[in-house]
Parts: sequence; structure tokens; C-alpha cells
Amino acid sequence: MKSWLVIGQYVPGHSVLHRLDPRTKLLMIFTYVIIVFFANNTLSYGLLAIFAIWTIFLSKLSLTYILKGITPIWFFIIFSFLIHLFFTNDGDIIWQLSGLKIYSGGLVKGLTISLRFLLLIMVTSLLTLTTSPMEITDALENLLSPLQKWKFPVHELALMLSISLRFIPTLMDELDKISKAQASRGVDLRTGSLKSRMYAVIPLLVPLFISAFRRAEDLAMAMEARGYRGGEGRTKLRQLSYSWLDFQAVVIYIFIMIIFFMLRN
Amino acid sequence: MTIIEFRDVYFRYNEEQNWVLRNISFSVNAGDSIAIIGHNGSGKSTVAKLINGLLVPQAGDILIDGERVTEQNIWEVRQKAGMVFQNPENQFVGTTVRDDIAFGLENRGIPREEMIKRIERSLNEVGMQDFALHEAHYLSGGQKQRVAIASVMAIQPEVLILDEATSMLDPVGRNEIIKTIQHLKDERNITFLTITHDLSEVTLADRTLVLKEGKLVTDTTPRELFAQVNDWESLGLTEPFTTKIANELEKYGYKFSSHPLNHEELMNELWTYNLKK
Amino acid sequence: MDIQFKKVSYIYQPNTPFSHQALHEIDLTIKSGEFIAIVGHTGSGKSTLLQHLNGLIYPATGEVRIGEYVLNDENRKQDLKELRQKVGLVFQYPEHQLFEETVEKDIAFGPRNFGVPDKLIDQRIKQVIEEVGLNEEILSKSPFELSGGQMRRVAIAGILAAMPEVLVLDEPTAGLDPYGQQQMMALFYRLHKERKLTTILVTHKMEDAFTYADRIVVLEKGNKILEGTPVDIFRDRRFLHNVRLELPEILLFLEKFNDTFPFTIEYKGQTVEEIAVEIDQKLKEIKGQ
Repeated sequence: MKSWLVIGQYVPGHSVLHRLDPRTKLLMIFTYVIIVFFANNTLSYGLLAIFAIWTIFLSKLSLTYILKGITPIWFFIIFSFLIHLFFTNDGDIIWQLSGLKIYSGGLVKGLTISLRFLLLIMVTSLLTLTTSPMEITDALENLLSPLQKWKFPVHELALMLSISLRFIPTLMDELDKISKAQASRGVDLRTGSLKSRMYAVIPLLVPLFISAFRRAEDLAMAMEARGYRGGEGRTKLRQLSYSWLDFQAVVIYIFIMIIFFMLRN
Repeated sequence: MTIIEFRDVYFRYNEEQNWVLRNISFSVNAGDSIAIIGHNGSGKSTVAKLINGLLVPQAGDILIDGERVTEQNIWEVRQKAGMVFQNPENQFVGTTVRDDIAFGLENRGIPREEMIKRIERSLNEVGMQDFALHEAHYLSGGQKQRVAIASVMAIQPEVLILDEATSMLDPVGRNEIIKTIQHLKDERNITFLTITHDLSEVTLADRTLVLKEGKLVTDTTPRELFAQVNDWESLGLTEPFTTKIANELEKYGYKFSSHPLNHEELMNELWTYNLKK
Repeated sequence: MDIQFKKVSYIYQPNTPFSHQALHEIDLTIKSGEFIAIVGHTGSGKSTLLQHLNGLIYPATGEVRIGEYVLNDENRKQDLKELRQKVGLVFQYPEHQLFEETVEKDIAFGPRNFGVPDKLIDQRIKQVIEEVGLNEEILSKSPFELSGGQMRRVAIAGILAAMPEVLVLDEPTAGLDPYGQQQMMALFYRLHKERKLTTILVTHKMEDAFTYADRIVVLEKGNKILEGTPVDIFRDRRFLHNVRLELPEILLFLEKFNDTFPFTIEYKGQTVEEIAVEIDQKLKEIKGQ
């Protein structure tokens, strides 16, 4: 497993961000993700960037840890920057070499698109970094619960999600073990043609699936033995509650959004 | 009072296969501690799954607390007989320790305030009170199994079934579980049914059932068992050390008034024998 | 093939909040043909140590020498095929790595990856299936219709078919019943003798370490805390109590016996039969007085 990868990773802590109700965080980030697309000048982008960096500061996580942790995403960010830089024919030519022309419009577009992308990734990573998967599941179940009226299986979905999240580390360990076992039997995933590398995946996937099925079977039996029979009549231990902190956060957030819309042209 | 009763129980997974259990009859008194041993594939885990209705016999009756186990009362039966399985990883449903114990309580619609009390109590009983918010991934095998025991205890069952609950653990984990079980035996008046390969666990039971190829071949006390068995290998076991050394010493004319179950007993017998003559 | 660990340290997830040092400057030499047991609890670093033997992980600092191979932080990009062929690794629950349609194909998988010609592979399959105590009829079956014990033997056969010189065993008896465990260890001991293998047993069972190993290494929290022959380890047993590792039953018995009776029986690697003879002699001596 790539240890430095922060995508989907949760780092336990007690920062303000960790203590917010997951529903508050989920709703704020959901609106942030939409609002990013409304930014249209330096000031509005600047405000969003400052907001993102401020929240990272509040999370007590290091900015470099997050920026390094999204390494694979950097590739896409730089790629989309270059695409826009070279293929936009807007504005003045600011740089020229033989047939290659770079327009000021391309530079601006490239910068804004990659900034947008970076902000989205940073803020959504921040959600998973400061909110345990379980809290996210609870928040989703709670926010979606009105849908139950229309027979939407909210409880089942949430249970499925939380069990899958619970088993991800287990299955990752399992995959690591199997790939090491097969590597010591001479499987080489690093060299060889694409075709031979595709074949090399079979000795990993077959055992992984067999193991996952066996676990699922065991788990189903354990759940049944402990009296599980669907969502009806169930009580819940975990309860979400909004606090004074959430109220403050929402007020500040709305205030920032108002400024944001004032800064747009 | 009889809590578990098997009457001529037959079981097989499907018609093409051989019987996994044949003509099994036994009964267990409330408060007793029973060990079930047998080689791999002898049917001992099947017995456990039949007790709480995870499997249904083709013939014969199973009675829990005097009531026949049927489709209708299966949920009440599972409330009375809780079960801890072999693999610590595959029975941990919740993300954290607290959530996992809550799962069984939530299923039964226990009110939240009551749930919190019961979780606290059962965590204390297994010595995991400091781990309530820990995630499964960060616990050792022994700790996970203690959580599994706590999850069952929170339901307040009358019978606790341990289906090879220590077989995947390292020595430290195994000792944790054995200690936990001993502690529970002192604290609560419930019936224990331990399925195991570990003879030191067998010596802690009041009675031992031995299964061999789907048949109940012996039903006796551990001491009697250790004295009787001479083919341990056919039970998937190896001769216990104390038995081995006692048998060797008998060759030199030493006698033992009752079969020694552990080192202390063996040593005491040697002392008395040595002093008497 | 001699194996040497020189000041090997290993860190999981370095430079993250989850960073964890699993090995601290381990020095260890294993001679060709030796049977060595590495004993420790879960988390003692024994599994991390064994993964170095196949170049599955590289030391963060220090180096591992295995025959001609040198593994250290600088030469991470080398071809390890030959090393992996010469060092066979039997992971915990090796049956979980089976994947082919038939037992035969699964056993052939390793040797084929190592470039062994088909004809030779067929010969080897017949040899190894017998060595692990299985019948040739099993070869055409699917590995998934076998019993747990048989599956494990098939997986071990697959590793033996690569004709390794070193066999590394990670808790090879986990999950078997006691008689099955005894048979499995007897199998490895026979292989060790017949094939003249260097055998490295990684386990938390002192019982097996004392029964089979020439030398025992005890790890605790990534440090080597004890090393020596079974007799040495018994002499230094007070260190074991600190780390909650339990002596084999025969030695626990001897300890208690020596405490109870007014004489001592020295441990020299005796069998139960020999111990009984000594007890009888000593008791008779006392009675004579």
C-alpha cells in the first residue's frame, strides 16, 4: 500500500474540524464543491483558496503532508494545465517558439482550471482526513433518511457501506500478503509486456476473491447469530447532534459565501 | 435443569453427501461447562451451529430450555445461546469496539440508554473498557475475540458457545481468552460450551464430549477421558504431556491413585508415593 | 547458502503520522544447512524479518546478504528471480495463495515462473507430491475441493517444486489440529534432513523451536533479545518471562519439579522417556538414603 497517499485516509485527532458534526462538514463541502465553479476572478478564487488553506490550518494537519499525499493527482493537474495552455487561442500571444504559440487566455484558463481542481481535491481530502468513514456513513444515512418514505433502502445501504469500509484495511492487508506470496513464487508485476503483466494479476485476484467470499460468508453467519434481521425495529447507538460549534461554523461559512458572491463580477 | 438437549439428531449439508452427524443424543445441565473435542471434520462445529439454529437437522430434535428449536422461535433461541466463532476478523461487524457490541443490541431494539449500560458492563467483563473507541484494524486477535465475547455477553444469553475461538490466536491471545472465560465463569451463572483442540481448555471443563466421524463416542469427565483414551491421534490430538510422563513412570512401578491432569497433580502423586514407602 | 543480517532496521510507512519501526539494528548469521527458529509474539518483527529473505522488502538501513545477493537501500532495483527461486517462502496459511484450476497446474506455477523446462516440471511434480505425503491422483483435482490440510500440503509442494536451498516457514502449523501440526512439523524436519535445506522457522511456539531447531533467536519489539541453542535459551529463561514467552511444557515441568524436590534434573535436550528414567533414578537415590 502506498503509505504516503492521503486520499481516503483518516487521521484521528481533536481539532475543530474533527469535532464538527459530520453532517455539517458534508453539507459545507458539498456546497463548496459547487461554488468553486462560480468563481470567476482573482479575488473570488483567492477567497476560496484562503478558505481552503485556513481549514487545513484548523485541521492541524501539515499542508505539505496533504500536498505530497495527493501526488497522483498532481499529474492530472499539470496535465490539464498544459492542455489548456497549448490549446487555447484566446487573448494576446505572450510567448512564441517556431509553430508553438501561447496565448494569455490559455495561461489564465490553465491556471484557473488547475486551481479549481486542486481546491476540490484538497477540500474533499480534508473531509476524509478529519472524518472517520463511519461518521461519513452516519451522516449520509441521516441526511438521506427522508428518502425512506419512498422505500429507498437507506439503512441497508448505510450498513453495506460501513461494512465495506470496515473490511477495506483487512482486504488491503490480504492483497499485500497474497502479492508477496506470489512474488516469492516468481510472479513479476514490474517488468514484462503489458499482456504478461495482465496475466500476472490473475494469481492475485483469484485468491483475493475467494478470501473475500469466505469472509462474507463468515460475516453473514456471525450477523445472523447476533440476531440481525434487517432494519425494522432496530435501535441505534450512534447519534449525531449539532453543537454550538456547528452553529458557529455555519455562520462563518455563510458569511464567507456572501463575501464570495460580492467579489464575483 | 436441562438447558440443551439433542435427541437422535442427524445432519448433512445435502443429499449427495455423507452424514456429518449421526444419531447424536446428549443433554447439558444449566450452569455446566462442557468441552467438545474431535478431529477436523468430526462434526463438532456443526453441533454448535445446530444449537442456535444456524443449521437445521434433517432428523431428531434439539431443545433449548425445554423448547424445540423451530423456524418460529429461532430469534428467541439465538437470544438464549450466543456464539463466538473461530476467525476474529470475520465476526467484527462494527467499525469500532463499541459499535460492534452495539450491533447485537440494536438488532434487538434495546433502548439506547440500556445499550450504553450493557456495553460498559460487558466491556469491563472482558477487560476491554479502555478500547471502546478503537477500530477493529488496530486490535490484536485476542482483543478482537474478547470483543466478540463481550458482544455476546451484552445480549445476556444463558449459553455461551465458543467455536474454536482460540485456534487462530497466538499464545498471548489464547491466554487472554482463557482468563476471560474463567472470569466469566465466576461472575455469571451461564452454561459454557467450548469446542476446542486445546487439551488445557478441556481440563477446565466439567464434562467432555468426544466426536469422531460424526458420532458421539465418549461423554465423560476430563479426568476419565485422559485415563481412557489411548489413541489420541484419531481424535486429531496428541497425547498430553502429563499423561505421557505418567505412563512412562508407571513402567517403573509408580502408581497414580487418579489420573493426573496437570503438573501439580503429578508432582503431588509422586510426593505421596515417595513418602509412603 | 549463508545468510547474514548486518544492523538491519526497517520502518513501516516512514514520514507519515503512522510511521512505525519494526526492526532495530538486527545482526544475525544463519549458516548453510542450519535449522533456526525465530521466536516472538505478534508484532515482534519476525514477519518483517522473514520478508527480507526474499527481497520482498529492503532494509531501511543496514544490509542483508544471502549467498551472492546483497540487499540494502542503494540497490533496490535488481533482478531477484534467482534469489526467490533459491529461497522458498511458506507464508502463514499458504493455502490462501492457491488459484489454479488443478493441483498440478498450481504446483507448476512457481517452477514455470522461474523458467524450469516443462519436462523437468513434470518430473518434479511427481517428486514433490510424494514428498508432502499426497497421492498422485490428487493432481487432476481442483485445489478448492480438498480438505484444509491437503490444500496446505499442495501449497507447500508448489514451493518445494522450485527446488529451493533455503526454506522459510512462517507459522506453518497455524489452524491445524494438534496431530496435524505434529505431522506438518515432522514433514518439514524430514525435508530439512533429506534435502539438506537451510530451514528458518518463524513461530510463536517455543515447543516447536525447542524440538526441531539447532539454534533459537528470540525477538521482542523489533530487537533481538536472545540467541542460542535450546540448552542456552533454557539457561537464560528468565529473559523469556519478561516478554511473556512460555517455555515448552517439558521444561515448565522440569522447573516445577526442581522446585518441588530436593534435587535437580539438568536440561540437556532429553526426551520425555529419558526424563522419566532420570526421575526414577533420583527418587530411588533419595529413598536409599
